[in-house]
Amino acid sequence: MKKTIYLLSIILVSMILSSCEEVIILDLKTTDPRVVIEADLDGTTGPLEVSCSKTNDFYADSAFLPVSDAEVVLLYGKDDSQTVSETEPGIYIMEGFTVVPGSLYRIEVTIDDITYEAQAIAPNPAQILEVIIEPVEIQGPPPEIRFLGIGTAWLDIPDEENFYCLRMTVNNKLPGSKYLVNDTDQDGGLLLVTEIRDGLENGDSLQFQLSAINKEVYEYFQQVDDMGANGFSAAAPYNPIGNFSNDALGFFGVCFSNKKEVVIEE
Amino acid sequence: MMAFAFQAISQEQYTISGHITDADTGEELIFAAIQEKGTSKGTTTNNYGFFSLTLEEGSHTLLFSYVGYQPMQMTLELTSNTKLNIELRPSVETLQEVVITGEEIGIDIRSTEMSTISMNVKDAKLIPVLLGEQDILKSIQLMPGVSSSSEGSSGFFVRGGEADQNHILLDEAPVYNASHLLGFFSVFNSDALKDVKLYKGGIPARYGGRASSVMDIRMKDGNLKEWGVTGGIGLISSRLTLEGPFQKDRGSVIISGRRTYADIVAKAVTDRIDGISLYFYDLNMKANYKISENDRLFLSGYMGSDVFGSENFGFDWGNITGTLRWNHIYNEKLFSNTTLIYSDYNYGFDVEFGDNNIHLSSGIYDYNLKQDYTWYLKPEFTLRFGVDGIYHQFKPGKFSLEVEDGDDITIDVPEQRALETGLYVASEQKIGENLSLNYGLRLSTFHNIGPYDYKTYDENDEVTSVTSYEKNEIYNTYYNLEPRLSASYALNDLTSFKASYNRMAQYMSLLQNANSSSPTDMWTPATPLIKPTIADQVSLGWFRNTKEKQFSFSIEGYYKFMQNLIDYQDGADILLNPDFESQLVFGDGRAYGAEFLVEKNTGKLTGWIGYTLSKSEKTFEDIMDGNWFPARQDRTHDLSIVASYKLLRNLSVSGSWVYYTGDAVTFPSGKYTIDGAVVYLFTDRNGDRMPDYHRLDLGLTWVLKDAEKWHSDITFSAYNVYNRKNAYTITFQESEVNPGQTEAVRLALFGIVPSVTWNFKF
Repeated sequence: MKKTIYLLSIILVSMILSSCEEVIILDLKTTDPRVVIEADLDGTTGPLEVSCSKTNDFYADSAFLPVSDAEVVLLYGKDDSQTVSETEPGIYIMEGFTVVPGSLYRIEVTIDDITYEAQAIAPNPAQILEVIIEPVEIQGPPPEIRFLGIGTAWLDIPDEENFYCLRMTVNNKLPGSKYLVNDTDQDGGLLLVTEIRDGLENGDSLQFQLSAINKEVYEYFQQVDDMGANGFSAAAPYNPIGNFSNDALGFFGVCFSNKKEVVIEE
Repeated sequence: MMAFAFQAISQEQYTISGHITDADTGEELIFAAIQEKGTSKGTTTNNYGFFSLTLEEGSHTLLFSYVGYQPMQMTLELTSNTKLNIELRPSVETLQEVVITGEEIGIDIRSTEMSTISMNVKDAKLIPVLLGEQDILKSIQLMPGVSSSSEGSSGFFVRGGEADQNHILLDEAPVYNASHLLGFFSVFNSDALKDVKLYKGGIPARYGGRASSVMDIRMKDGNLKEWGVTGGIGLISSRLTLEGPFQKDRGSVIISGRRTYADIVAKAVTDRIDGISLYFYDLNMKANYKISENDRLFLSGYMGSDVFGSENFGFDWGNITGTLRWNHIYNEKLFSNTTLIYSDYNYGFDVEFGDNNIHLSSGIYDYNLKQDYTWYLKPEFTLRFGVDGIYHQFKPGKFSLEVEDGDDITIDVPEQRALETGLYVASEQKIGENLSLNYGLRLSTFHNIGPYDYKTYDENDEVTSVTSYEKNEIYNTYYNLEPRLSASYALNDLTSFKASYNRMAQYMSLLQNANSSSPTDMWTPATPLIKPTIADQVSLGWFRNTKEKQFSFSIEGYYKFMQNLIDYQDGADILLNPDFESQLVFGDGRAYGAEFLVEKNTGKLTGWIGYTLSKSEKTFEDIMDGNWFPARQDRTHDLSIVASYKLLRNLSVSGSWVYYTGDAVTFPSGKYTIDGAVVYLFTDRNGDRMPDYHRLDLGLTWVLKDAEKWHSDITFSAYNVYNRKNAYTITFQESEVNPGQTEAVRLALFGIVPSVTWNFKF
């Protein structure tokens, strides 16, 4: 009987192991490249960073196909505007710009004689109140594995609809974690994001960046997350829709960021 | 063998009525044929083995036949209405030939029935299957017009329709989730089943509620003659059935169970899954009792569940159905069936961590009362009529998070209630020798019942108004008239043309939370916002048997138009969303195609070749600017070859080969970066194809012993013999070796999978 069970087990396991993952080459359709504009105006540090690119073929070496010689103009106030210059292929940066919360900013990007426009209102800034790091007991894994609960708290800006993006990196290593938070049902309250991690050692530094962002950017990032790493977590794959005109992919957002760094101790 | 009861009524035409049963077990034989020799007059037994045939006074020779049974011929002098109960003996061959389509060998040329697949469960057992688990749903997928939803899955599409448009009935009770283990096995234990019939088109008026097809599955009644045990031991599951009379020839009972033990076997070789349960079980029970010559009661039930869990979490889902039926014969011409049905499908999810608990539950519950009559008015005219009402309770989802400090979170998608009714009348009429008609009308209604908060939404999905309805208040009603028509014109005894039209209304839809099906998919009723799906289908076919019915051929063409299909907005969030209706978009669908079938019905070699050429498309105003795009289940080519060869009296081999065009899917056509991460660019919805699918399965059945008191056989099978790496999913990722480059990754689930099953009966 033991022999029979052993034989059955071997057959069953061989069946289970017969599933396999393999990289294959697909004959994918190609399409005309589309314009991608990612424009971030950070009110805390002043720079407007705009990356202009075009979509690339799936099997191309890089996902970033820069577009040089674009005309990038930031418009603000009554009739004020500034042209943003290209610092490296596809990257346009303007330093030392003062952003006023509640003000409207517009951007015009002209590529191949087509102008793509977007606008956003600067949100009010928010500050990280506290970062708490405490050991957490998790049942199951071996006890020698140390789990740390990392809680980041801040006060919501009261009496308005707010959207936030919290990023966390360990030892400045990208891409790190990203959390999208809104204040639905918690207006003016304490907002808290908690992450449980293992593998952190004493002396490791954690970097936190809390950004108050526009609703349009929040929804755009949500769509990007919804598509997942492989584009198949959603009911049907689609292209995230941003706020640029003329079908450009990407987004324009104005944000205020606040940073904090914490070193893990005993 | 026969029981006669004469009534002295003086008239020129008399009616012969009764039941046809299995001589060994007393099981009623469904759709067995009764034919007057030398004429086209005849009929078949109904779902309860009852028949009624009216003939002129005088001498008649009748032929009674049923596939797998020795036909019987008898001559009788008809001088009055006659009751005639016939018992047919199973044919002496040990190994049944694989015969599908039509319980009588070959095609019933003169019947109006078309676009149907009948499967005698006993005879389908020779088809090789995955892991030796006989599965009636997978066997039916080998026929034209029916396609599997994915590799190894018991889910299916019929003539380009959606998976939720198939009405699966087990002893008349709807089965809402017919799958175990995420679709790899169906909930139907073949040992407990008697007969399966799938209507792809020309759907009779007595059926309603789904847009594309009806699968009518009947459980065995239980042996009325003697007690017996049937069972089987396979690689991942075992089955055991006990059946017998509690009062000989009047009442019997059958209990059939099945349980998988993959987790137990796996634990024997690895400690990695210690403390984890993963199994499913099914339990079928049925009892019947003949109260009198004219009254019979049936009580049947099914319960099955999947269990997946450990000490700290549990996830289980399953169906329960129950059916109480009363057959009453008012007289030799009027047959009645009264049915009370309960059905539920539910799933639950529990997680415990420390003092915190998460619960998730969802379900659908049906209470159904039906009354059906069959009135055999004249030899050439039968009237069927009836009424049914279903009270539905939809519990889309309740989520609760109980935390240590008592600050619990609860999300409750509100329960919905509805009453669905159907009223139908249908006539089966023969006009002359060659023309047969079946025409009917079904009036279906659907009433949404309070309490409910009905919401409307603006284009940004924000709630614009809320109207509250009281308990038991009807706040929305739909009516639909559903005409049904089938016709057959026989050119001669061997060839006929048939045509049909049907309209079907469907008042509920299955919402899927992701790109693939899962137990957490949610049934939702039609509401003021979600209109019922309406499907109109026309079919035309040519049918031919060769002499002696060694071969039969059929060609059918169909066109189906579907209104009010559901799809999702980009970025739709359905799971536990009380405002899920705002995430839906509505459109139309069309499916058309041609089905070719050649069958070899007799001889050492039997089997069939089925081929379908088809197209299935959808259109939604909000998707691709309203242009038509392929439905996921659009399969241009679908070919099945199934054969069984009897090598020796106790040894047969079988094989099946399938090929079909890959599913329509949306693959990326480019890529770009956002926030430092790769994002894929998509163009046309379902504009790409999964790789074509093909697979060969082989089987061998060896009868070890076949005596009257003990039968045993052993079945060896190999799934995917040439180890084709068919894609189950294709995903996209950044290359680990060359960052920035992206690659497609194919997951192939099954390579070659051998299996062995030992079956016994005593």
